[in-house]
Amino acid sequence: MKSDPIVHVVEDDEAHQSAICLILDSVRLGTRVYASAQQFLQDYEPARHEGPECLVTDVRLPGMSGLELQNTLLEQKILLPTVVISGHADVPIAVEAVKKGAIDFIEKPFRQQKLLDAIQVALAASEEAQKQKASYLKFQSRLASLTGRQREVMNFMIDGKPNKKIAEELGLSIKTVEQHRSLVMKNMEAASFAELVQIVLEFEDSQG
Amino acid sequence: LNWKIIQVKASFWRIVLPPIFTTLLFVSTIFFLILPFIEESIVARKREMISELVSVAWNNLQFFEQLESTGRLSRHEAQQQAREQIRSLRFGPENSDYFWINDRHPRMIMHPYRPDLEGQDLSQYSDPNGKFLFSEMVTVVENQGAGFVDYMWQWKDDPSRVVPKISYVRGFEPWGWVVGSGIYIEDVKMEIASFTRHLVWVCVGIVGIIMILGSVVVQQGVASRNRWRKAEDEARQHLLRLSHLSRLHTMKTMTTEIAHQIDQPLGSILLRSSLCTDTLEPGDPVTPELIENLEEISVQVERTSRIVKRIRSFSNLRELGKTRVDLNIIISGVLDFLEFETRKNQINLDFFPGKTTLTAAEPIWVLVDSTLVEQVVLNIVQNAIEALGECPSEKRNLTIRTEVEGDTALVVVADNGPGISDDRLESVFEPFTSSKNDGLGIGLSLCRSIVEEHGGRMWAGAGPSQGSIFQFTLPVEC
Repeated sequence: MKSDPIVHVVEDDEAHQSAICLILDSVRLGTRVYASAQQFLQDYEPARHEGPECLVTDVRLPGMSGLELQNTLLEQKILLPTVVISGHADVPIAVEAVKKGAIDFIEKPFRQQKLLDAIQVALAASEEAQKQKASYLKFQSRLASLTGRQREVMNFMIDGKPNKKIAEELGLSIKTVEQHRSLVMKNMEAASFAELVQIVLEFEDSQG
Repeated sequence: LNWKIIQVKASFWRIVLPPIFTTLLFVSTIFFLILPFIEESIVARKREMISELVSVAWNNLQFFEQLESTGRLSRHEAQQQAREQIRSLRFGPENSDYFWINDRHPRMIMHPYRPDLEGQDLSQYSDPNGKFLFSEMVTVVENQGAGFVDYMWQWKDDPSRVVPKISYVRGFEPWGWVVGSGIYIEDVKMEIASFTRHLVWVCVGIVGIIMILGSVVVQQGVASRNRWRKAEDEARQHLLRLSHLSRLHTMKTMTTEIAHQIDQPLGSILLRSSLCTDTLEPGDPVTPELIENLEEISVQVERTSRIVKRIRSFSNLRELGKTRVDLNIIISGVLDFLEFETRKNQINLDFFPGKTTLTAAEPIWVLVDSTLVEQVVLNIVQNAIEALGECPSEKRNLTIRTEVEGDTALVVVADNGPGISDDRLESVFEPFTSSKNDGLGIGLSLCRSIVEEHGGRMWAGAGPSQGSIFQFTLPVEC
C-alpha cells in the first residue's frame, strides 16, 4: 500500500477541513491534515512516500501563509504538486502562486468535483514526476557504468560522426572504436543507434 | 415620551417652587408674626395715649383745686369751672372723644354726651352685659389710684350704638372725683384694618414683583435647560454619527477578513452539498453519514447568518438604543468576530470573564447600546493586535478581563506589545493623534466619548513589565 496516493491538506478552518476530508474519503484518497504551514513543514518528510502525493493549501493561514509555504518548498527543492485554495479577495495572490508552479488554484467556495479534478491533476503530475525521476536514476546508473573512453566515443556517436573519424580524433584504431561502440550500446541498453540517441536526448531534456 | 414630560415637569417645579415658597414664607411672616405684634403695639399706644390725656384733664382739676385752696375761688365755683372746662375738652380723629367725671359714690358729675346722667346715682348702673362699670371704676381707683376698665358703652355721641370700650380712670383725691376717658375697641380695630389693608396692598405689590422676576428667572432657566438639553442631544447625535462612520471605516479595513470569514462556512457548505448532489441518486438509502452531512450544512448556514447579522448591526446607523445586556457576552461576541485576526497574527488570547462559577461566567448586566460598546471593545482589541505585530510571534499575549466592584463593571485589555510612553498615555485619547497611517485617528477619543456617554470612564496605562493596558468602566445595572 506504500504507493497509494496521499493528499496533504493544510487548512486552519475546522469546518472547511472536515468537509475536504469528507470529500477525499468519499473517493478513498489517503489524507493527511495540518492546521498550519509550520505544522506541515515539521511533519512532512519528502521522499518517504513512494506513491504520488500532492499538497492542498489555503492561502490565508495563521502565521506562515500558503504562498510562503510554497516558497519554502521551492527553496528546499521539494517538488510537491500544489493546489492553492483562496478566498475571492486573494485572487492576485493565488495567481502569483500559479506562476510559481502551483498546479491550480480554486476560489472559495467551490464544488467538490472541482477540488477532486485539481487533486487528480496534481497527483498525475506527481506520478509523472516520479516516473521521470525513476528513469533519470536509471539513465544515471547506465551512464555510470561507462568508462571515460566509452563516454567520449558515445558523445562522438551522438554527434553523428563515422567510426573512421572518431578513430582519427581519438588516435585509436578503427577496430578499437568499434569495440567501444558495441560496449556503449550494451551498457546503455540501447537496441539500436536511434534508441541510444533518444535516451540521451530525453536525459538532456530532463536536465533542462 | 412620557418620561420626557415627567422630566420637564420635574425640572419646571424645581425652578418654580423656591420663589413661591419664599413668597409664602414672606407673606405668612408678615400676617402671622408682624401684624399681631403691630396690633399689640397700637393698643398699647392707645392705652398710653388715654392715660396721658387723662393726666392732662387731671392737671386741669388740680389747677382749679389750687385756685380753691389759695382762696381765689370757692369750692363750688372751682368745681363748677373745672367741670365746664373738662366738658369742653375734645380729642381724637373726629374731635369727638371726651372726658367724664364721676365721684366715688359713684354719682355722675359731668358727661358731655350723657347730661341726663349728671347727678344720678351710678352704683346700680350696668352695661348691657350686666357689668357695674362705675362701681368697678371706683374700686380700681381706690385700690390703685388709676387703671383701666373695659365695658360696653354707647358709640361717642350716638346712644343707639353700644360698643366695647376701654377706659382709663384716675382718682382726684381732694374732691373725691374720678376723671376718665376711653378708647373704643372698634377704633383700634379700624386703625389696624386700615393698616392691614395697606400692608396687603404692599404685599400684593411685592409678590407681584417677585412673580414677574420669578417668571423671568423660570423662563431663563427653562430656556437654558432646553438649550443644554438640545446641545446634549446634538452631541449625542454627533457621537452616534461619528461612531457609525468609524464603524464603517473599521468594516472597510476588515473587508478582506470579513470576506474570508464568510468564505469559510460557504466553502464547507458548497463542498458538502455538492458531494450530495454529485454522488446521490434517486432511491439511494438515507445513511447516517448523509444526515450528519446535512446537519453540518445547517450548522454552517447558521454560522454564516450570524456573521452577516453582526456585520449588518455593526454597519447600521441607529438611534441610541440602550438595552440590558451581559457585558461578557458582548466581549466574547467581539472576540469571536476577531477570531481569525487573532489566529492569523498568532496571538495567544485569554478572556477571563468576571466571577466564574463551575459551569459558566456570571453575567455582568449593563444598560448600554450594545453596538457602541462592541465598537469600543473591537477598537481596543484591534489596537492591541496591531501593537502585538511588533513582537516576535511566539510571545504575543493578549489578556481580556472583566470584574465587578460595587456597582461598577471594569473591562481590562492588556497586551505585551511595545506599550505607550508615559507622556502619550493621555494624548492617545485626543482625536487625530493616531500613529497609524490608515486610521481615522478618532478611534480612542470616540471610545472614550462612548464610554462617558454610558456613564463610565476610560483610561490607558503601562503593563506591569511591558505592553499597555486599556481599561474602561460601566455602571452595573442590577
